[in-house]
Amino acid sequence: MLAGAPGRPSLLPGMKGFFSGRAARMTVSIPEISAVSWSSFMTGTQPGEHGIYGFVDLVPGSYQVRFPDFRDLKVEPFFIELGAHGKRSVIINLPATYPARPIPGVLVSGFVALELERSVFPPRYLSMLKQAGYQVDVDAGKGRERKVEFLADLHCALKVRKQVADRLWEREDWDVFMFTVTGTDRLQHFLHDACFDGQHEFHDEFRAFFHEVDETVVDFMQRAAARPGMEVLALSDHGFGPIRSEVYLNPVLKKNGFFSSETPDVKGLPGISGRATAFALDPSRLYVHRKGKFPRGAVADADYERVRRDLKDLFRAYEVGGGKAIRRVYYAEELYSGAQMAAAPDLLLLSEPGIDLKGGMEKDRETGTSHFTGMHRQDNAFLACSRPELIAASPTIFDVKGLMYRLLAI
Amino acid sequence: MKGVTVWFTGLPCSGKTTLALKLSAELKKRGIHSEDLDGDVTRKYLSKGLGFSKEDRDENIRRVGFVCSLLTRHGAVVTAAFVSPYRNIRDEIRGMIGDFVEVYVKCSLEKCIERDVKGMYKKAIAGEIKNFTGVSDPFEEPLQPELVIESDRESEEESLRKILGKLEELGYLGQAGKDIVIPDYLRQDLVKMLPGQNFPDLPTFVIHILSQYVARNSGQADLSQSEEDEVREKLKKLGYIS
Repeated sequence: MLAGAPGRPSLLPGMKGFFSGRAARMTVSIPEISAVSWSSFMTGTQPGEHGIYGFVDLVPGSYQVRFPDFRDLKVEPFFIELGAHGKRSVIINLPATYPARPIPGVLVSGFVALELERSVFPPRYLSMLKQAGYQVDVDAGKGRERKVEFLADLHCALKVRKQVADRLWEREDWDVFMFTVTGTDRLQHFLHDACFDGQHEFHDEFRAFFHEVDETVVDFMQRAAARPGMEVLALSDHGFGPIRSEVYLNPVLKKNGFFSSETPDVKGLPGISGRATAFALDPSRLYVHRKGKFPRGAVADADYERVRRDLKDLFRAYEVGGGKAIRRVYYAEELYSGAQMAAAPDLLLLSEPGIDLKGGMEKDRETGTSHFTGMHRQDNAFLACSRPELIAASPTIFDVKGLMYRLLAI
Repeated sequence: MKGVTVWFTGLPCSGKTTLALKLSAELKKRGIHSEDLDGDVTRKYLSKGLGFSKEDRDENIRRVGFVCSLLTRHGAVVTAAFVSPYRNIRDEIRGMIGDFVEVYVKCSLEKCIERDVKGMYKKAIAGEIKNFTGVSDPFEEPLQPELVIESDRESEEESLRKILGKLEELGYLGQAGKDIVIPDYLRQDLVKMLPGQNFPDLPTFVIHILSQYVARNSGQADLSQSEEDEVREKLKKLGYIS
């Protein structure tokens, strides 16, 4: 988005100018979702260490899912660690930091924050946020059918968030200031098709929102650049692209004999049968239904590698509309390592652009489309820095913390 | 923490200094900044030259009261053990200090004489010491002290518990069970680490450490059912779960 599509004007011209066009294309975590990517960013580690594998995870030894939050992060985020170096951080709207807890500085939690009261540290700023009308998130439900209202909410949330950030910028004595924009993600999920289609009903509104984001962010960057010794980093936790087709993994597994339900009336994972050998969790995680690990596990240790190979073969060959759907199938140990490996899925899928993977446990077909028009991409996030020479040749989101520490001379 | 002067008044050898020192030691164990003022010390450094006439005694207490007011204003818990036999001057310094807790250490004259290892009572009774409180000079009992300790009937531990309880009741100390004593061997290491942290003081640093522990190990780590439903709904709206 910094550079813009070939032959088209940038959506973020101010940022592009600020960094003189020297933004790097960055790869992010797999799965390429905010909970995992931002946790990787803030700890400089991968899920095998920090323990966040998705927005949902399994309760060990069961088929129940739970929703990991900031309390589940097993590695200290940089803003806690920096306290040991006498540095204070102001962190605004960073996903995967709810509920807020004490940090050396200020933390306003981002997605999936629930109550504002539990999203702010120190609590003395709560009244300031309330008075400003701060929203922890917009109602994404409006993105489907009430788009005009949705766009208005996005503008309003950004404006208020900027006001709050401006106050904290002035009031707080900080070493690191981080402002996270989430509205662009919300917008692209529902209106990615409006981005380059000049005839689209919301084309102008789409670009107008990006320009507002651009002005907001550049304002911070220019103020930062005016401070002696201050460096600037900008990044996204994933890229974005248009959706060609959604692929529902559990129906694919079912059709190919890996997944079956105990009885038709028990829906979802709790209804999995004792004959099922694999199942999927959103968005792209595959689990071998192992004996000893799951209550009705069907796969003995001796058969584990064979089942993994079969799954790999299935998805490597899987096609949608005559084209390859899966770019690569990973065994967990190819991506992750560390103390939290016990909770890792057995395989992970990286899709081709345009193929939006979902668990789709309750879907009765393998593919489809929906009201979503944009999807995350793992390979086209961006990273930009006021000292571009410090950016690695092929940067990943796991490198950003190290880069930040170099800028801070730590 | 709010400062306060805990003023121990009573006959000579009634046990004021013993209790004041016990209180001070307990406060230090709790990490609370305390200062001890005692008649022997202040007469040497603050009120040298003053005698034991009523005027001189009042002047001595006035000077001590002034020092107490400064320390109290700066957040210290001051333990002051003085016979301070006259009600007027005690009331005067109460007004000067503000945060003032008067502890009347009540003890029978016989018991005080029995405890008097220096033999001062004996000398006073023999007329060798003039203006000796309880013998040749009056002790004006406090009319409304915050606390009366009957040191000839209570153990020192009981008395200390009563004093701490009163300070908690009056809001000068955290409630019982809420204050945590950090052993010295840990405190020393934490204090050494403090300069590398961005916390203004040791309590804030300790709170930070505890909050991290609680965040990671709390039995309430999972969301409530209604919170889970809310998260599920938010994730569904964005297509993050199907």
